[in-house]
Amino acid sequence: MNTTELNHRLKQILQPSPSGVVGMADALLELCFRECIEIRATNFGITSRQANGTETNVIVNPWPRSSVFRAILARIIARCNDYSVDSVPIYGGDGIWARSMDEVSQLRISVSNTTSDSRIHILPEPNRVRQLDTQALANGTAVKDASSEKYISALLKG
Amino acid sequence: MAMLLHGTTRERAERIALTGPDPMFVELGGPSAGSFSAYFQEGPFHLGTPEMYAIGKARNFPSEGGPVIIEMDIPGDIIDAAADELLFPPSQGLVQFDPDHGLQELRDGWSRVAIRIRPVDQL
Repeated sequence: MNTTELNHRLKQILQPSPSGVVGMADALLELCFRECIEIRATNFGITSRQANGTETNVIVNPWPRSSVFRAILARIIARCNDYSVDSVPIYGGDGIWARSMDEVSQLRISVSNTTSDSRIHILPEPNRVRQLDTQALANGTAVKDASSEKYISALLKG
Repeated sequence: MAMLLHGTTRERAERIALTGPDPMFVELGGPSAGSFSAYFQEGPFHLGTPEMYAIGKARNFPSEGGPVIIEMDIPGDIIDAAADELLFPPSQGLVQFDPDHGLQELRDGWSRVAIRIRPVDQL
């Protein structure tokens, strides 16, 4: 996924739709998992980083309703707790998520959901990054440069 | 008319029961709440159950009397004022009362809302 496609996809995810805030949160998790994308989000917008180091910024100011971002965070906390029971308190903490218990790869999620501090960091688990990077090298689509090496190296160090 | 549930602490629930949800309510160290959320009794509970919220708040604020659920019978016109098919569709179970989206209607119509408070067992 190139930068333009990612930017478009993020904006698309954040558009109000019949799938509501639940759909927004689920689509963000799915995007991070499938495309191996790191995301940092606050009430003002989203910064994403791909494995090759490319960053994308999507500014969301204002949200269509003030409560939307916190509802997205609450949904992601609930998904973490579905995956691992009672792992993340309602006001936030660190958790993990994967599409199913059978998945080897997971997302690491750090979230704060209070009135004074609303933010989230979603980070693909290192094995997932390594797996996709290997696939990309095999099919010749990898973008290997200093920033991607640094990013993957940092992830693998945990 | 529909029954909505809100998980909180007893102290907060008794305050809400008296005067309605307060958008200026301030949790320790934070800005004002600004909004109020509740679930349809029948769910679904995609953002966590009311019991989970009650227990979570009670754990963070242990001097507030423990976890409770506020059960509210809210007239349909008030719920309709909060409805938003593209952000908080009723099928997702959550009714989000925000400024300009039902919060004022809920406060103005609070005398028409029947309220019960029940404790939540902590595991």
